[in-house]
Amino acid sequence: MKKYLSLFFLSCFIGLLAGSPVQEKEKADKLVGVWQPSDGRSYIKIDKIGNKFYGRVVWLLEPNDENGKPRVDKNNPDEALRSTPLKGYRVLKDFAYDEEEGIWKDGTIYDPKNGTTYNCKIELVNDNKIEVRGFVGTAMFGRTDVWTRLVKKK
Amino acid sequence: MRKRLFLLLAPFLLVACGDTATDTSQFVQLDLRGDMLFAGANTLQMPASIDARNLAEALSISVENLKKVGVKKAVLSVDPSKVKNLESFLLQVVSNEQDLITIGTLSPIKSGGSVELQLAEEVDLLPFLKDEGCTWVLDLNLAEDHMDEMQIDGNLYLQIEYIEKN
Repeated sequence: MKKYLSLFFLSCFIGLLAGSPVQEKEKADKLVGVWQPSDGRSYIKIDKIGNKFYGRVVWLLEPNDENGKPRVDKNNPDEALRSTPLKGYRVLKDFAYDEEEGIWKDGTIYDPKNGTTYNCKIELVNDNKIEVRGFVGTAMFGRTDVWTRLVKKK
Repeated sequence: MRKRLFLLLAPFLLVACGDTATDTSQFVQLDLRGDMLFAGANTLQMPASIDARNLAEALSISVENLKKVGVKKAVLSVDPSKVKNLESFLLQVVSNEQDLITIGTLSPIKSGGSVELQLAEEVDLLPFLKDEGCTWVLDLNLAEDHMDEMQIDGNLYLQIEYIEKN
C-alpha cells in the first residue's frame, strides 16, 4: 500500500513539474502579440495558425519607397512574388513551441533587405521581451535581436 | 523466391511503368470569410474541403499514383464595392506537418469581379493535401477598417500530374 501511495505522490509531483496541457498552451501563446524589433523601423504581429506561429509586418516606419509607392518585396528570389507589399508580409514562419526547452523553434525569418531566409528560434526573456535569433545551419552562427512587445499605455 | 520477389515488387513496377498524364479539370473552391477587420494586415483562413484521396477518386486512380498537384490558375472574386478598401492579396497554404508556402499574390487590386493572382514559380499542393490540417490562408491588406463580414470566394484550378492506371 505504501508503495502505491508513494508512486501516486511521485506521479503527482512529476505532473506538477511538467505542467498541464493548458499551462503549456498558455506558455506557447505568450508569443502572440505585436512586437517591435530593436531598430524600431517596423512592428511585427505574431499569431497562430493551426499549431504553428507566424509573424507579419503590420507597420513600417517608411512604408513607401523613394518614388512614393508602397515598398514591395523586390529582393524575393521568386521573381513572380516581387510585387508583394512588405506591409503585411509574413517574415516569421512555421515556429513550433518546444515545451521542454521553452522556446519557439524550427521556424524561419525572412530579411527583405537581401531576400534571404534564415533558420530562427525565439526565446521569451520576460513577458514583454523576446530574443529572436536568426542563423544559418547551426544556432552558433547567427545574430540575435531583442524585440519588445507593444503594450497599451494605461 | 523469385516469385515472391516479383509479387513484392509488382506494385512498384506497375506504377513505374505507367504513363504520366496531366489533368486540368479539377478545381478547389475557396470561401474565405472574416469580420471586424481593421486597417492594415489581416488574415482569412479556411480548412481545405478536399484531400489527396478525393482528387485520386475523381481521377479513378489511387493516391500513390498522384505525382504532383500544381496550380494552373488562382482566381478570387472581389465585390466591386470593396475594391477601394483592398490593397493586396497573398494566398498561401499550410498543414500540420508542412510549412506555409505562397500560392499567389496580387498587388495592387485594381478592379472588382474576378481577379487572377500572380502565381509563385513552383507550387506543389500534394504534400499538403496528403497531410492533416490543410488550410488555405489569405493575407489581405486593408486601407480602412471593415466591420461587416468580408467574403472572398475563389477557385484554384489545379494541374494534376499522375500515373495512369495500367
